[in-house]
Amino acid sequence: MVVYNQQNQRDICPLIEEFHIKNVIAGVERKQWVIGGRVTMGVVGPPFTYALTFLSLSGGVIQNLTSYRVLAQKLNAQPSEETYVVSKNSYGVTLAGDSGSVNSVIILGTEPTGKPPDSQKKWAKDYCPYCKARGINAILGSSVKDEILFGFHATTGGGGTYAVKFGTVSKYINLFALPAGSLDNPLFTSMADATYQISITKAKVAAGVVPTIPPWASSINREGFTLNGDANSEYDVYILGQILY
Amino acid sequence: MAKRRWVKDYCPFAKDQGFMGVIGDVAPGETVFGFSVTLGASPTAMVLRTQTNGKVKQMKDTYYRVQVTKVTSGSIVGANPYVGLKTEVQFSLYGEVGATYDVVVVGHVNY
Repeated sequence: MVVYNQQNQRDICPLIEEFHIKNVIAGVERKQWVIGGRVTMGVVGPPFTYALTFLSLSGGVIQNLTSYRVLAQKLNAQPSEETYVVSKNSYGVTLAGDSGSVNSVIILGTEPTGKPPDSQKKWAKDYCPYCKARGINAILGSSVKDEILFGFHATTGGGGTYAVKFGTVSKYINLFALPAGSLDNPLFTSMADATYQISITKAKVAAGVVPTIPPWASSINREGFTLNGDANSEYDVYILGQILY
Repeated sequence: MAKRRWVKDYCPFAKDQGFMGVIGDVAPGETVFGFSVTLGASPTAMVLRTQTNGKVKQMKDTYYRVQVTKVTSGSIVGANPYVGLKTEVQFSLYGEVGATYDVVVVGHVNY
């Protein structure tokens, strides 16, 4: 049986309390960022595209990334063409999808250090006793305050929808690690606003099942949203945004 | 602490790296990592140790979450990518043969 350390990191890291991030998520690269935002595809095409820069997505903090992963997710309406990446370069990415569609974008990227070789050897654990104590080698940078990235698993009903309520799904985010009886206490109930980013992928522990409908999110508000997809199907979901405290 | 300050004002590593803030999480102890892969067949087993160049050897459980986006230049999504057969050391990625995908994983890593 796997044993998890259930001590909340806020008990040992002063940043957790101050910046309302509940816990720090770890990384496996020495210097990585997570940035996100919403983009609206153009209406001239096809392809209907949007060229974003890291500078615009990060509020002017990040100019270029040496390597990065992109998650793109159409919001508000069923995709007729699932959003995809047309091209990547060091300064940004061009997405394509449905005409005029609103999309969430989440980027996990590695930035060149711009530091002398000596300082490039150090990881977060080498600076921070809290990270070292928790076995966190690296932390992920953010260009905004109070932002969190978390995931959960959801199963749609016979109608192909699942009403995501953060007050409910946060009882199950860490279900496997919570002691019995803790399900009455949601880890949080609401985002700070409705502009958080969403990413959805059909996924299950058993053999995968071919999607007939690309998943999408609608009716997005601070307390949750509607996950749309195939009937009685399992999905992995990520959220990037600020929690309401 | 004064709320107008940033993480970089408190954390020496964040300051050294130029991080304005750090990304939080709801559940304790989770890690995020990603990789790109071009499918030679569908499904293809994503062996975590291989895809991360040994940085992640295995997860603690199969409750980790996976997100996938197609990143093949100029190629529309012909078949929606999806995930199955999760184990602690690998999962299967289903998609278009020859297509490239960005993959991001969040969960508990067994260091």
